[in-house]
Amino acid sequence: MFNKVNVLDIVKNHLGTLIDDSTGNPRPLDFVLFFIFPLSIATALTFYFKVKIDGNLAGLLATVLSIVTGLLFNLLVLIFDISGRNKEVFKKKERVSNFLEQIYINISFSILIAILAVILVILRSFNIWPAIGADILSFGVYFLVSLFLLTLLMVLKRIDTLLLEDFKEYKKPIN
Amino acid sequence: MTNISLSLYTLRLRETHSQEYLPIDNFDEEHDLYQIIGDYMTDRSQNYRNDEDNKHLFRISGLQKPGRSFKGTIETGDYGYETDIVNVDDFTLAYAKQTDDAEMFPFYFYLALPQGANLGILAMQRLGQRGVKTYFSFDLVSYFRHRFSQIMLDIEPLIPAQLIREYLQNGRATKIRFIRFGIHSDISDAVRKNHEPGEGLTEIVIRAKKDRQFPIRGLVEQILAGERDISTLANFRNFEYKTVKVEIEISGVRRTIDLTHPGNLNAELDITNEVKLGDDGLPTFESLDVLAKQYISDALGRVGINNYNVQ
Repeated sequence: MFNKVNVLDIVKNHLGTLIDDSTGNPRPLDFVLFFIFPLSIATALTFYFKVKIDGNLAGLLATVLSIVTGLLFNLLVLIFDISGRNKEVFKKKERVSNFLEQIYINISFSILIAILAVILVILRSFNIWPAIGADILSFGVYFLVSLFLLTLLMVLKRIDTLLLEDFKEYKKPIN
Repeated sequence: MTNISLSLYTLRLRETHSQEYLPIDNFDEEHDLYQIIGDYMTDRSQNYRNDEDNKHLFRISGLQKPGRSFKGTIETGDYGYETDIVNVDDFTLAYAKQTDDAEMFPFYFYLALPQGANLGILAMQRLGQRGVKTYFSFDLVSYFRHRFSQIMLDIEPLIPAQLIREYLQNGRATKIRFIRFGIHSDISDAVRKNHEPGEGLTEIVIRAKKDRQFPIRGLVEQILAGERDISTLANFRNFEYKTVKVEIEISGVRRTIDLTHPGNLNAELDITNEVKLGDDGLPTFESLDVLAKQYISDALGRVGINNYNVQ
């Protein structure tokens, strides 16, 4: 029934990109950075600083996440376009091909996280939750937004590398 | 008779910490190496360079600038010691060299810097064991470094084609090393910095069985001639190499050819029997010029630059 909206593969593929490139094994530090660190931020904001998500913050988060999600969809198309244009090159350069694939997976994951965060923000903005329910939703929002921002930084670095390498190819002299 | 030879070198530019060479005519989007070296040559031809620390005198004389080339004579000599110069006919003292006298030896040079290329070719004369490359390259690199601290000027020996052919014909290729630079945990860094040594390197080594060899002579010749890309030599899954080194055993001696930098094999072209000697007992500029132009032209063709007029 949920096959068409099953996004677990996106999560699984994304976790597969958090590896040490020199060994191909999962990199514990990446999991600390991308999961333990956002969990710590969410815990601190929700339970220590007790930052509440009011209507203004909910509106702001929903707007920002929606806009960035739209832009990320465009980025997916860009990656698809680069991949299509350079098929012959990528057949020879497996590393660059893997890199492109990983960027694609990371962007898909970012979009998924942003969508989940928007859903939680919307749910949190309903005034129907008991205190503990509201805290759990806030915790979820802070965690997802932190994770989203970190993943976005990773995507930015990777897109930057990809395009700089692409420009270098154009700049190469004939001889 | 003292041996007279020519050595060929490549001049390349790269950013510090990068192995990727830049176009020499526009290396930082603004400057042309030809202009920079032109300034250097003009300066050194107008003034003696006196290295007081090493007691070494140096200057360029008879500088010519045909096309995008420079040629002339580098005069160099040491001082700081006294010697007697004796006439060999009557064995009398002809001159007593003082500590402030430098005996200047002339060495021919030709430097071609083709437009649009990422390398220049330098030919320098040697006289027996005497040469001027070490001092000249140190002086030029220092001059360049002073003006462009972020750009490296590499001057490396260029191995003559016939020597490589000789090695490949008479030797046995016994070991091939495929090298990938940089060990990076992030694929983004690996893609961006895969041409930098970084924290280390990874290599795949293929060894031939005892008394056997790899039949790769044709492939290596094609790669060195620029007719084939180095990446076509072998294909490994998840291993994109940047450098290939071939070990050749010739008469019991092992030589390694770096296919990306074959110049690491030092070689001189013996031209003793081809040059004409002048009345001063030294090879004439004209005879050296003819041979140097011929070798430079061959070398440029070998690196794929066929449209450069060596004048």
